[in-house]
Amino acid sequence: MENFDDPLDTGSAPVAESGLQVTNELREIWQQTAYWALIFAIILFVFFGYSSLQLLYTTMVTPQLGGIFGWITSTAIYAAFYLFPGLLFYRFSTQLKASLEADNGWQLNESFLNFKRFYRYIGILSIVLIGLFLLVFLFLGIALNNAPFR
Amino acid sequence: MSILDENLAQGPNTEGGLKISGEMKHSWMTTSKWTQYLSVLGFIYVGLVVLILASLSQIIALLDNLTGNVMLNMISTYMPFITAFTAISVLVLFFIFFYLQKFTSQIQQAVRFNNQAALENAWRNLRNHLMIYAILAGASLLLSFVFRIFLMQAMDAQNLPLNEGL
Repeated sequence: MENFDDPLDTGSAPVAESGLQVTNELREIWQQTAYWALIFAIILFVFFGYSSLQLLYTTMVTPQLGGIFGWITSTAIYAAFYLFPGLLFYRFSTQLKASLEADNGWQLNESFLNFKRFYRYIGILSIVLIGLFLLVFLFLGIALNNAPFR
Repeated sequence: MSILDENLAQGPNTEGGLKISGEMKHSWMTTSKWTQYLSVLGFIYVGLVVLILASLSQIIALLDNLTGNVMLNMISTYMPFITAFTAISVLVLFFIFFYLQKFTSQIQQAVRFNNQAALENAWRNLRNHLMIYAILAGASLLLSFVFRIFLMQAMDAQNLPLNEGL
């Protein structure tokens, strides 16, 4: 038995949780964003490949740089700067594009999670780098303060 | 009846089954905090580069006049080009962080006040931010390739192994 006291709209219309909607214009902007994000991710991958190959060559011709261990350590640092952010942006781009093509809300949500992870990662990386710079300056200051020529 | 209601709810300008969920809004708000921090950091970096650039040319010119060093004289000759190149790079960097800042403020406004126009503007700004960033990164990659080829040719001309020039 149906309850005729309920309003007609109850449970039938896919009303968004807020006043914000995915308009055609927003879709177009997201498609362009996905395109540029993909290009950016590819550039980061190329940067990583180019840098690690260049480093491999340098460590091969200059064994004093630590050999394979030095190369692995440096490549890990390059991966932190280029490969991992590139991967997050690649995921954001491909998932955003796929979600728009398939009208998949879950995928759209995942793409924005990767987008958030990218900026959070870059933010944390910058905090770590600033901290390292400050530490270097601090140790330099202590070393200069205790220098014998002072 | 439900089809009629669906059409009414979606309006004439929306398409498909995509909706802005609460989780998405939460993601955007968290992202906006990080982008705000990064854009402020970027503006500080741009300001520092401008300060260094302004003082560096003065210092090099002064040292060149005082010492008459050949290397300093050569750098001093190329200083206007170096300054112009760095100034253009700094200007591009400024716009990268400017668009990121605009994205931050617009997305926060969109989520807080359910402002559709602000949402569209926010993503437009992020698209511009990414576009400039990708072009700058591509140009830097190309320049590093060109520099590498130039270096290899220079080393080859002088019969030097490549690793000595690095």
